[in-house]
Amino acid sequence: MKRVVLTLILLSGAVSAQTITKGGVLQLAVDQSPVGLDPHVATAFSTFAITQLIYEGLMTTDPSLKLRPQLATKYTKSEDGLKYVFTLRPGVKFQNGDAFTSADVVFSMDRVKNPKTASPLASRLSAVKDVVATGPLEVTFTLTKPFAPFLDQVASIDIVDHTYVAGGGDMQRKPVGTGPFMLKAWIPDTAVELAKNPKYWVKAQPYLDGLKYNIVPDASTRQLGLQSGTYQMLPNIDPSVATLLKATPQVDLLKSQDLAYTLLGMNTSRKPFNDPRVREALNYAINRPELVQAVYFGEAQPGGPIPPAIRAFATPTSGFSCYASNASKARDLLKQAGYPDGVNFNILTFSTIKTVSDTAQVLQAQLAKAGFKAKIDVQELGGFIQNWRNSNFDAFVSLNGGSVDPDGQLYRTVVSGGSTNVFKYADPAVDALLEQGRTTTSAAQRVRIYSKLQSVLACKGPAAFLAYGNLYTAVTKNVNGFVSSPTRSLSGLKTTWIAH
Amino acid sequence: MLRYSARRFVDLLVVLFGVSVLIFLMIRLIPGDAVQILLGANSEVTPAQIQVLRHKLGLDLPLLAQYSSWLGQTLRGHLGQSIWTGAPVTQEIFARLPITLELTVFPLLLAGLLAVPLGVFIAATHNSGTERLIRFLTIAGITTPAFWLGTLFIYLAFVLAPRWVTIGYVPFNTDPAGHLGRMALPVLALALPMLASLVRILRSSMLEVLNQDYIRTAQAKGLTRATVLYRHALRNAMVPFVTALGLQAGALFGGAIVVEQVFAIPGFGRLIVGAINERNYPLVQASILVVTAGFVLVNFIVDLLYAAIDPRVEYA
Repeated sequence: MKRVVLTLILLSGAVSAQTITKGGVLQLAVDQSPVGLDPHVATAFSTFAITQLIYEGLMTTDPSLKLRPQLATKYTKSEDGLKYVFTLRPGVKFQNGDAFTSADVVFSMDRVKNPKTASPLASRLSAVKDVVATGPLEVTFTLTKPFAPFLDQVASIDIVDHTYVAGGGDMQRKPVGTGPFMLKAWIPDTAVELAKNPKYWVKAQPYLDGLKYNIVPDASTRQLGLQSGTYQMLPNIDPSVATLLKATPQVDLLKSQDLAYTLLGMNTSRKPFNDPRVREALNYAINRPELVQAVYFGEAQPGGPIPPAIRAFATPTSGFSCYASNASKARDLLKQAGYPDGVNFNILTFSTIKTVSDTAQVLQAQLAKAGFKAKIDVQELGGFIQNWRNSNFDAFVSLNGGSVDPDGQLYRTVVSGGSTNVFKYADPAVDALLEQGRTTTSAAQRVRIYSKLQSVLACKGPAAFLAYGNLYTAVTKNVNGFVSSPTRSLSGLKTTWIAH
Repeated sequence: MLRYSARRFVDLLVVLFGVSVLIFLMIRLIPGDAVQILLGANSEVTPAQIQVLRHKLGLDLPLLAQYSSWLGQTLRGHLGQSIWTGAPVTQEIFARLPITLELTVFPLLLAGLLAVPLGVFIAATHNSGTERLIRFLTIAGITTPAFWLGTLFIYLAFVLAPRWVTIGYVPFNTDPAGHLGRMALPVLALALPMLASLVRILRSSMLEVLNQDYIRTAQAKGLTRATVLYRHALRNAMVPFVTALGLQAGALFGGAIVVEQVFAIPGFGRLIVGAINERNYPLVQASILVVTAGFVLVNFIVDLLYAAIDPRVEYA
């Protein structure tokens, strides 16, 4: 009797589970060509979408934002937080057959740190004193001071083959990594083709034979291509496109929450935003739920300085008093600050991202009701970047990439003299909290510190944090097994398969 | 004839030199910097790193030094390397030029060849109903943007013939059917507005010619309608038509940018627009030189055509 029941249970399991069909090339449509394929130098998203399938780091962030082992199987951290020892995975090979060892890890870290590489990732290793191979499959990192975001920041640096690079390999055009896919061809302005890595260390993966990133600049063309089946996946699409595709029968929408956010940044070194009361008044003047409806069609969440997706740290917006929109309170604060007749100022923005330019317009209307008279200056992207970097603005509206760790999210943006602190914001109390946040070894302590930081920055900080969009990836119904991630990572493609 | 050609060639060199200086200055005067854009608006880059990259690309030298270095290299045949991909600029341009040439020559042929009988027919017809209809169609054709037509065609194809792949590009050698299938709609989208405009131009110059005395003489002589229209009237009406054709060719040669964007075709136009957005100086400069040379060449051919059409035109 028991045998019969057991067999029945097993049979029913087999019948209900879908069998994975391997093979096939997945056709994706993206809007831009990659800038180059060297993961240490080219960090634009169009490059990241491809290099993250070719390369791997010591650890990886899963869709629920937890760190998981990848090229490192485990790590130990010393009591004082100054030493990390990683044990590396044995039997891993690079796509050209070279064996993966600790020498490759040391080489990759050194390459990122080397000023000659001019790597944008160099600041991630600022707290690292040295990296030593303490065994063929063991690497020890020694830090100058405890650095709480260490694992997130360093673990995601892609590991390159030291023999290949030192031997003059062309990292920008001919990448060699340990990941599930390798570069097959890069046809400029047309497509980037990746093929399955037969030597990948997860024996059964990837399920697909290849990936083809078709470069299609026009949004309506990409959408029609998906509907007609010419393309099978559109990664990370606009909320307006997602709304249109919701009604399409042959398309599935996979949802996750974005770490990236829209913001209105203010120049705190000049009037009127040098006065924290004015900044607070601006926050009161903004109606975030209305903004979410108008710009994102409801497909977003208002948020504070830390993305709501980082549940462990983010304070709910109900905790910020200035998020309860109140135009008369705004006017009162302006009067107190010495602007009884309101303020005039410029908003710098650009038009290549629809949610950004729409946000600027909606804000202009909302702010006017509270006495903030804004003039929008839409610039071409190159011009915007230059003015943004040189702090040549009263205020700007833009989209900032978010980070998995609160320190990565906030530090360089609001610390005095931070590399992306274009607001020229300098608050010694905030600086002190930020330093504590990165050096504390206690997780509970960190939560308290960032909670305090959020309450300071949300209402009186140099930026009004607006909304975190819902991130959608559109796939045709026969594409299975892809899980989208707030980090916009496409590494879920290694377990994706196409049903026949 | 030879002396005329030689003089025109010298003119070409002068134009190229002038344009090179102009474009060199203009692309650098626009705000925004190649390195800043390369590194993006939201990265962890320090000003020191920006300096390193600028120095690597030679962008920290004074303008005159940059220009003379570029000029020297160009005269020696080295047009430089793309700032973004590192590939030689000539490689980037000549990989895409044939594709855009297809998108220039075929619409021109289609529009030009169809415009002649249509234009003549309309000018010769006295039926006011047909006249009004054609006038309406031509105005609709001229005002309809090619990119809108393009998106419309893609949509119609998707609805009426879902198996027809209309987006993207495959080389003819790899897949002739796929190549033609993908090029058909962009060519059509480009040809229709051109056709409308050419028909209007031909019609108005034909009407002018048909009012002339010598046409009445020809009719009085008893020649057939066809002979009068095509042998006598058309030839005299051709000059403005050929001028317009030349101008259209020049404009298309720079790349039918928006149509290339809509159909995801890796053409020369997209390359130029991308290079300008990236402030990819060597690529922009070389591309503009190529476009200028093309435009001047087309104008030269048009001038030669005048001499062929009109025996009164002579070049010393």
